[in-house]
Amino acid sequence: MEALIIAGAVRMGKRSALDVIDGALKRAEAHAHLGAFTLLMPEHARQRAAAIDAEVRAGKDPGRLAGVPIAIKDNIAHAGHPLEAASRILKGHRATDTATALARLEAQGAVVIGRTNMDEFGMGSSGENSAIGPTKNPIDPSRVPGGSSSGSAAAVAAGIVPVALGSDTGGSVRQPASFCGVVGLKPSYGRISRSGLIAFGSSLDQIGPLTRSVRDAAVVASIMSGPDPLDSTSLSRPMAMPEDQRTPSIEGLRIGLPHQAWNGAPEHSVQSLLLQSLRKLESLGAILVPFDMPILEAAIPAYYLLTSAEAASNLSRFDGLRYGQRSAGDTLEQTVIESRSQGFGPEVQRRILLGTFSLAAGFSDDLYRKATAVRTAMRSAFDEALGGLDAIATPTAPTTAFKLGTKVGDPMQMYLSDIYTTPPSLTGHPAISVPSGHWDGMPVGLQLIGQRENEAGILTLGMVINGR
Amino acid sequence: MAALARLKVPEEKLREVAAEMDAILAFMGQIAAFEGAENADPEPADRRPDHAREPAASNAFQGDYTDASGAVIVPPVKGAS
Repeated sequence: MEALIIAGAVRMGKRSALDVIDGALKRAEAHAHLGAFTLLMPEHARQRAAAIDAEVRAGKDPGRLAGVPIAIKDNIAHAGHPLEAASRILKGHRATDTATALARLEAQGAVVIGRTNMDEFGMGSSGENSAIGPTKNPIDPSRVPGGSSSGSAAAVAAGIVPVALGSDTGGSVRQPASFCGVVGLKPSYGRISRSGLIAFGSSLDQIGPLTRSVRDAAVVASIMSGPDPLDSTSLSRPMAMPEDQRTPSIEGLRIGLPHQAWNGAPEHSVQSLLLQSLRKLESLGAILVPFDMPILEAAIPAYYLLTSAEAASNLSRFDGLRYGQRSAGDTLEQTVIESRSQGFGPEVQRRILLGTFSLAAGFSDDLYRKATAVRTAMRSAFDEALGGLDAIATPTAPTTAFKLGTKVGDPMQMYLSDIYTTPPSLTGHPAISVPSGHWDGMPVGLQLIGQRENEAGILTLGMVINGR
Repeated sequence: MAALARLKVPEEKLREVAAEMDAILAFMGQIAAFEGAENADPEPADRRPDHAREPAASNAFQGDYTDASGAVIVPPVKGAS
């Protein structure tokens, strides 16, 4: 059920929040085999629900998300609760503050029922790089749910919660949304405060919602958005909602199709299925505009060089001294090295090494600086293209969800899963993945990239595709 | 690189990790030849020289905070509730 329908029933006193939360907790326990949660919080959730019911009985309005059960990714701070980013190095660590985005949802009556599994520190595209163990895809548990917001996507797809929060650095909300058949929104960079989100690639990180409907994604993102003194990169204006949410018109909207994402697609493929969805938009009045964008081909190297460099810096604070667990060493330096070597998983260590290399003297001019130049050029290319377009459409991912264990030993194959999602992350443009049919029984997502700081356009298109 | 990153690569895994990093860097290195970003070079930033620093503190573990599994737990902040 959609979050807005649940909240409406709770606000009018037709349904108790406690009943809603108990239902979500039961569903979470029934789907424990998916590994979607690192922690369920029944006591906290029931206390919150009881307080919301009391407010309704007293004639007060608990807010636009009254009694809506939500799940949050394990890298989003919730004061007093564990905050481990699915990593051994943060085992036992508890948050001292609540992330601004989450605080805004709670202020509107949302109730956190648990924390969701993820690729450690957000590094991964399959949900398999977790110290807790892999998450499984609810549609087919022999397949991955995507990543890194694996548990959040699985929890929504399994119908446990209508809304889950993820974080998206290079597609970590959109790609699992595509693999699990749900909606995933990465707002413009800065639209939602990063305060309380464990940093991975600070110049790209964004919190975003995973939902069953585009309408829910729009409402949840707009509540979380707005300036925040705790995040100097937050945008000054909150997110605007689409003007007409019930009967959106797409007559005359221009949708760009970059050759680099669509040309050469095999006749029977994810791309060919998505082209059928786009032709439906065309029949409703949208105009499809093929165009060339060669710089897209540099996205994967630029993304991995820049985010690995930022990750190497951001994760230097995890030394076993200040947070979580420490491994013993004979000297302080050995203790730090042992703590990091035993605490970080293989993919995180790989990225730290890559980031350290790309910043090293003698290599940084060819790697890091070149990547920043490509990023600047890509941003200009997107702005220029979107000057004459309302949105750019690409597949969210080149494939549907793959089998567990098939790519985890091949980092390059895994990195290529992000080929379509990394460009708007590098440029800061908003992007959404909307379910657009099934291929071989598995969901397929269409990615819509919008004009800078204009989420409303892609949300309108998404509502037409998704039907809600 | 591992020393700069404060990570330990076990001797028996060194060859495997080096080969993997070589493959990744060969792919990432393609960006150096990418044309189309020549006019977008950002302003250079001041950079520090790379070197692994020795720790400034010594004898930091006077308390015994080992848990049942042998891992050392970060001690609580003195005076904090």
